[in-house]
Amino acid sequence: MIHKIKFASRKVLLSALIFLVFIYVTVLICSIPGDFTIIFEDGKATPSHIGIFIIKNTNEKFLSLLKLDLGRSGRDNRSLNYLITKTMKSSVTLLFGGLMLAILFGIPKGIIDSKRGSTSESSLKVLGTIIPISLPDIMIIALMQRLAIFLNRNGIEIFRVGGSGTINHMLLPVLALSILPGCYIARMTSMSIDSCYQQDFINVAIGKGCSRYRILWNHVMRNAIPSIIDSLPTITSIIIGNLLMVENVFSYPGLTKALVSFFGDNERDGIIASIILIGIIYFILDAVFNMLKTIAVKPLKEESL
Amino acid sequence: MNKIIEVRDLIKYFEITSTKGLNKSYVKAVDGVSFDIIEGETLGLVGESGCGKSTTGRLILKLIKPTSGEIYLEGKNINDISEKKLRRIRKDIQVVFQNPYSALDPKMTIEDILSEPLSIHKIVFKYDYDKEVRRLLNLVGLSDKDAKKFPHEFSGGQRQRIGIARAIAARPKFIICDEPVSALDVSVQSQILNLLDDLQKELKVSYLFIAHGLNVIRHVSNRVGVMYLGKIVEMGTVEEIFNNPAHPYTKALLASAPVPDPFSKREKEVMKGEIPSPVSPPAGCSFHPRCSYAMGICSEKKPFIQSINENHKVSCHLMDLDSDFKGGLA
Repeated sequence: MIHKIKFASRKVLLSALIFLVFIYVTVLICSIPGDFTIIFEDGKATPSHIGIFIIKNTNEKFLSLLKLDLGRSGRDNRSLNYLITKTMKSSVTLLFGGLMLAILFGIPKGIIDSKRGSTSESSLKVLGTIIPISLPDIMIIALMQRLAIFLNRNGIEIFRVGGSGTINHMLLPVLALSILPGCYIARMTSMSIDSCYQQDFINVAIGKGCSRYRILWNHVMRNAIPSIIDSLPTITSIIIGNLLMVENVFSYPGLTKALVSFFGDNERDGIIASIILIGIIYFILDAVFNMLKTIAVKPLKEESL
Repeated sequence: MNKIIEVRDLIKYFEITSTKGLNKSYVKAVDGVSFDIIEGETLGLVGESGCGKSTTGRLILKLIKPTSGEIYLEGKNINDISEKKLRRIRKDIQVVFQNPYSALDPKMTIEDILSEPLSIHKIVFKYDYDKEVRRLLNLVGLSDKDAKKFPHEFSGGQRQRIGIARAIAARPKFIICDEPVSALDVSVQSQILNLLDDLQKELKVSYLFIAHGLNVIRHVSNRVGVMYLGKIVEMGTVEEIFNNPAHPYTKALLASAPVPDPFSKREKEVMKGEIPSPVSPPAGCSFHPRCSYAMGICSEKKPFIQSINENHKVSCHLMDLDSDFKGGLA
């Protein structure tokens, strides 16, 4: 038990330290003025801005962030804490919906795609997963929007083409956000299942007289789930990357849309706050997946301890 | 005595396609194997790697479908039965695999592993599972406390014991032991072999014991089948095979086994060349390119398995020659 507590607290401390370094580096990069250059005169390199001031600014901003003060908007002097919290809620809803849909679609699709012990493989099923992965993300998002426009023109208004406010506005962004990660999860699931079926313990289970259903759920999925969970942090980074495109294409007022507008207005505090909050979302999701993995891989975890 | 297993002309050809996908060829893994196993008997199957021993075992287990041939379990043909009936029949045929590290599900406790066959085949009532699991563990020399552990907490020998406990949990009539000791230390090998022997005496179970170690086969088997390139080339009682081998391949195999006596002088029977490819086996007798006694007929005509005596069968053209000539060869 003491070992477990020590192990968990060491992991939490390490994550907190990494996160603090991430915030400091983000603030430092954003504190470097846009016109910063190195001037060479008489063989000597001189920076256009004094480094100590950049560090001083960075430290001041870092300390105010630690006090949870994100600063004020340069455009209308509104509190960034309020603006960012509002947009963050929308983005988190979108991300959560997209991730859930990707998992709900990906795992069953992976099970269907897998060979499940048979020697033949349906190329059509696998192609159905690989094609969306090979397409550029922006193309899938644009195609989804074209579909919504087409449906709207024909009187079917389930999906809204852009904007926010109702659940209908969220459907298309969530769907667009989930397709690519869903296909990745499907591919991961199908590969994990196929590698499990090659193990001797599956032959033993068949020999025991287990039904196909029992083999799949009691033996294969139990062993395949840890590798699926392992792939989720990578999928989270893909989904966060796509969030930027989705929010901008569908004019959805989320965190990454705010980030783009802060860039346009050259608002340093807004950029820093947005990046840090995106980082927070990633860190939280990563921690959740790690916890899930700890539960799913319980015996192996105990062995490593 | 009742026949538990009857195998008749069992054939398994694996299809292989060339990289361009134009030419199809077949790996003749098992090519017309026939044998019987009676109640309480151990049939040892021995041969070089890739000769089709394990494939024969997997065919009997119905883990792979045979190309042709028949398998009978207690007189009933189990070839073309439905999946549901097959699952019921699986209770009577169990397996112990070579690698105890991969044969146990790493995510299940020993209790779950052992109680799964009990629940599938309704061997005991649900409230007796714990008692039965403890009984099985004690039977293979493990303690009650081991029931709650996971496979990674055991050594190779202990895992193989769990594998054996799992195999006998369904109370089978027949167990296929697919090289059950080849992945274990020599000190542990004897423990496992003795355990299998004790269980056979207690449970009256029959074994098909697949191995490439002749000493192991001699120790556990009542009868031995020698396989070469998918075919059984010689079959007989342990005494007949080890004291009076008739096939040149069996002789070479026995001669190649090390004897723990540095001063022993033995007749050396060295096989020529490598084992031919099972995709294109030689015409006639498949052993003739490596045989020291090969004759003209050996490359032309396939030999049939024939009885030398009541307990001994061999598939070799030398058996067609008169006894004086055979004496000269020996």
